[in-house]
Amino acid sequence: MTAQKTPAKKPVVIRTPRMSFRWMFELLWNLTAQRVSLRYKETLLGFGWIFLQPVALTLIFNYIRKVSDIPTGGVPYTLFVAAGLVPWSFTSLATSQSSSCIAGNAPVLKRVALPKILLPLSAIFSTLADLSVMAFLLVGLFLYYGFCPSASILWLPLVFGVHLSLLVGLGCLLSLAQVFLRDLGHAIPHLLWLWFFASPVFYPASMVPREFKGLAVWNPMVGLIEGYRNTLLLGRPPPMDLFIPAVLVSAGILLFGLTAFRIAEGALVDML
Amino acid sequence: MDRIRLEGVSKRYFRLGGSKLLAGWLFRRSSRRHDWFWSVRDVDLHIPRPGASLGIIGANGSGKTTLLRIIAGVTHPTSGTVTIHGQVVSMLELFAGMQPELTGRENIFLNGILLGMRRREIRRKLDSIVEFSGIGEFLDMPFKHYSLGMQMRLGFSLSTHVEASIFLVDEAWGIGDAEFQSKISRRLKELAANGATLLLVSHDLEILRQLADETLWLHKGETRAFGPTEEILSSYLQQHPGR
Repeated sequence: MTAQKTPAKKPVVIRTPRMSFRWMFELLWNLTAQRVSLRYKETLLGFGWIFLQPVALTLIFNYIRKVSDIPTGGVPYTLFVAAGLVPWSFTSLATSQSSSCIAGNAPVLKRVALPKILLPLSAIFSTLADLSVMAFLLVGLFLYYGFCPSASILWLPLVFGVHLSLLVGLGCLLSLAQVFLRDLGHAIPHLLWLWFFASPVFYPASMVPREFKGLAVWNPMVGLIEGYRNTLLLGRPPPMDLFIPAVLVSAGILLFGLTAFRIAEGALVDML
Repeated sequence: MDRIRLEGVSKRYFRLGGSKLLAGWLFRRSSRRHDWFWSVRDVDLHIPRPGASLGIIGANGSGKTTLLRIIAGVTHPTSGTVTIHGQVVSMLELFAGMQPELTGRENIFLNGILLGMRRREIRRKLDSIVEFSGIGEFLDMPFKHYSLGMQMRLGFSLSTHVEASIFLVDEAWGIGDAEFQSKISRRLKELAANGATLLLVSHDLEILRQLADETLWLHKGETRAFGPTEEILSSYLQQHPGR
């Protein structure tokens, strides 16, 4: 076929009726519930798998602590690690779940026109089920050690809100990026491990070497995990020198993620 | 008000994968002309009255599926004007959203909502969906244990229970036994009689004769002919005497 001149006019699409918000909420809820039940369907341990990794890691870190000295500010070390592991597991699970949600749902996206942001959102919301199971584990530990949180726990919703917006932003960005760059599917598990060691999960942020302090401040998980620890264990508000950068970075990632998603959404299906 | 109106609609695809596109952009290599191809080129189409149905014929790769995807709103045209009034149900990939691990019942709810139904509506229509599909006792078994025919029947039954005004049908009757095939064409006639607009992609000319008022003949993404089904089919048959 001879190459014809390409029509330069911008495409126009007019479509009625519009998708209703109530339908979108119903769809979001169903996608989320489906992900939760699918992940553990036909496994022998079922939801037991949620416990397994944090429990194993807590044991390992207890062992590591015997080897090297890690200050916890007077808190039992198991509690100290658990308060870091629970938020970390949420980050790691939500990130790995949401990053593949668009590339992995190609057949649906090629058939049904739906607001694509529902996919990363449902992937992240589905990990809230895991988070609440782990929160129970944490409450159990509190009871075991006879530890009672103080009024500083009122900061918790704020810390969690910042955490969630970081994950939504990241989920949008990574799920989008993975469509254009399948390499990410291989890279993300490794990057998550690097991020894990760069975050104060089994050590306090105060142990970060001085030459890395300036860098660590911009890792939002530093401010978030220290925020969780302060409010849950130490009876203090989040450390503002670390928490404010975490808020800024999270808000930036959320904004960038949503904007990028809005721009690229239309071209997405053609790349699948 | 036309239900469907396409004016000068074209769709261009990138030949290579997304990573190549990204690399080309990163390294400032301008994409060459042969990296792109036109799947649909300058197609005009309109369906004037409700209840009129349209057939689409053409060889493999002539742009039929792309055209339906544009009408379904799954992909955007590269240029041209698309106007759609009414809810669209695409029956292109009948079990695209079906999860093999979920049971038939769970899949009916999940996919019904995906196709635009509400939960309450599905609950109300559940018996009718199951009855038409004939899956009976398999309803609470995992979808992966269904035979291909059963999967197709459930997918078809669910899609036609959506209260949509435009149905995009792509060779849905390819599989399934003779009995179900006649059930399908009866159901499609019923939908059309109730005022729905059908867009039928098929190589089965007999079905088009029965259901389509007008037919669009696509050739390499461009309109070869568009008009009353009988006329189009006879000139199509002259070019393809084997059929």
